[in-house]
Amino acid sequence: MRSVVAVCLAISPLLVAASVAAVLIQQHDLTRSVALIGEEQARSVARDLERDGAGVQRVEGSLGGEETLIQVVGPDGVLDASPQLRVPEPLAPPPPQGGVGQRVVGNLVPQESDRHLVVTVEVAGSRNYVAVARSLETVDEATASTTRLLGVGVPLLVAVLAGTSWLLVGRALAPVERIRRTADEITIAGSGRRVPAVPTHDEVGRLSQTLNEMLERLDVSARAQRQFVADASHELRSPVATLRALMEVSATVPLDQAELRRDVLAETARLERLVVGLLVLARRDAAGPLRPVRDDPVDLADLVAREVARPRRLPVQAGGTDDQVLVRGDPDALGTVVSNLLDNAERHATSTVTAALSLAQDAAVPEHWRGPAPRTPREDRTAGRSAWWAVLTVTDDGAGVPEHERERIFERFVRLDEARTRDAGGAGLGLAISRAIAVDHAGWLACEVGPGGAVFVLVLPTSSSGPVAWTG
Amino acid sequence: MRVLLVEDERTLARTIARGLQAEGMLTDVAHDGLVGLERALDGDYDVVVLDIMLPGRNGYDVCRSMRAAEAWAPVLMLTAKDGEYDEVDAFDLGADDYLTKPFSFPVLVARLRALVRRGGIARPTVLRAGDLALDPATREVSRGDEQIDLTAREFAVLHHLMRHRGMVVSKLDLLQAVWDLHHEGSENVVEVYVGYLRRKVDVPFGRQSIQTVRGSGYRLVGDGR
Repeated sequence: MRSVVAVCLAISPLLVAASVAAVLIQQHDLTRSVALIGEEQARSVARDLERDGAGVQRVEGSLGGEETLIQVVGPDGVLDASPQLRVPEPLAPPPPQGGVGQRVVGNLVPQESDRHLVVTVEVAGSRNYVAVARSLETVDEATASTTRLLGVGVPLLVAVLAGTSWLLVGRALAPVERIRRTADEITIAGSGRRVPAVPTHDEVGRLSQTLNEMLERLDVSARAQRQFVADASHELRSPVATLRALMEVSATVPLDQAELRRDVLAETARLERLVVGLLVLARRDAAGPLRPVRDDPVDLADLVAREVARPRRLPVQAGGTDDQVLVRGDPDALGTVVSNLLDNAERHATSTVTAALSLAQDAAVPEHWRGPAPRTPREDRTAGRSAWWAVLTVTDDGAGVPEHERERIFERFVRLDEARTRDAGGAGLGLAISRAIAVDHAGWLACEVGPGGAVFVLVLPTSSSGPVAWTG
Repeated sequence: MRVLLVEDERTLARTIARGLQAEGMLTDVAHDGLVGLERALDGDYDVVVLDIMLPGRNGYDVCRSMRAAEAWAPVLMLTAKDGEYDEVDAFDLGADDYLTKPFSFPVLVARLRALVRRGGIARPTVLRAGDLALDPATREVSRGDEQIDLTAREFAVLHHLMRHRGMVVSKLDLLQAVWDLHHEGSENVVEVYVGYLRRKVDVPFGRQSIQTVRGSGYRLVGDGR
């Protein structure tokens, strides 16, 4: 609305100025043509007088019409004049020496209000001069009608302009208002509501598209958040329910004390794992994508060797390099990743778990080991770029992971159906946490299928320069 | 009194079974939905305790399959899912009770006893009379494969008649059940609505399932051919 007013305010003075100029120019031109005719007549009369002293009447008869009044003026007053001219005084002062005089006078003829243009010319060879008065009635009438025309036309034009631009601007901005109203009504993320899509390819169309994309992202993250909270509460309720049932039943039924202790401990341990895992993820989520990560030099080979050496149900076969493989980051977090991967493999293996660490040149690391293209500025600086990569593969000979589940298993609380039988362990957070830690270190954690069961591949950018051991 | 407990948390299942046995309930345990459904259909249980998140088939699925197979043992859903809609779904699929984990063991036992008292009579979630079906949860009515649109009042009248299938329902009964107890109008309004219903439920199909019992009221019968 304000823009319409602004347009009208900007255009109106211009139109008015142009109109005034047009009227003035028209008036000037018409007056000039009247003056030229008057001058011509005056000269002709002056020539006649110079030649034979002919009277005004004759001259008028031959030259002028109704509108032309002629006066011959001598040094002592009016010598001769058209009969309509009752005025005894000269119409105009003598013209300048050798030139033409002009003057506008009003009320020249009684009962006529026309203005007249008086042109004066000298009569050569005497001190007399001729004054020709021509009515300016046509000029004034033309000027008046032009003025009237513009006086009506300009406001009308401005009104039409305002109306049209109001309609056009209104039509162009109507979707914006609809978008605004919908956006105003959207109060919670995850409601699934969208602003009305505008199918045009202009700014408004792009605005609606961008807003909807933003709402989509918010919805997805809100849904994920809600799902996470629902899952977390579900996972926490189960062990608590078991603990409570154990206590309540043991109050009335004599349970075996050793068994009770073992059950309570197992459930408590599960709760503890869950809480720790949830805290790790929550802290990471809360800190956002630019959270600081420790940047210590870590020898991955040493770390893997330590985790492999831990007592387990199934011994882990170590393969690959024994040389130092240096990465930068948080040694505790990286230790968690390695131990999670080994725990996970052990849970699903039938007889063998193998862990192999190696260094690979950039070209030798397949794209899907590096994860999706980086999105945040910080990932952009580091992710997917390294001359050499540390590659840790953990292989088990279990059932493997079906193709369509290979990405899903990294989501929180996702346990494959066959693994849902709870005594297989895990709370469903280990792989999610491990992937998150790998991403924090500008690396990635992927799942593949191996000759036997599943293969998990952890890739991290390394500061080692080549497979030759750096010993320092 | 025999209880079937379908629960994948092994420690919890073992503990509940132990506790129920001490209360004098013979308890069988299944750790996944497939085995659970199989037992529920085969065995003669007085009550079934069902977890929802189960491997194999989930608890909703087991419950729905039981009802579809006309296994009417009361079902108590014992689950960590505490959402309103989870609970609504469970009841609409044929569950009889719902208990959220963590729970109080004495309350569980008391609820199971109450469920057994009510017994396993047929309690279909969808009411049927011949090929006429009415689902109170979705408010859908159909004859055969054909969907029938009813107004709220018509639906309420039909619902009341179907709940008392084969029995005579007086106009006053209908008036009090569908309008309200202190309805001031005459019983004519019942006749009018029964007329509407017949025009939607019977006439287009050439049936006479809503019968007039002269002097007493109406009776809904199975086929009405």
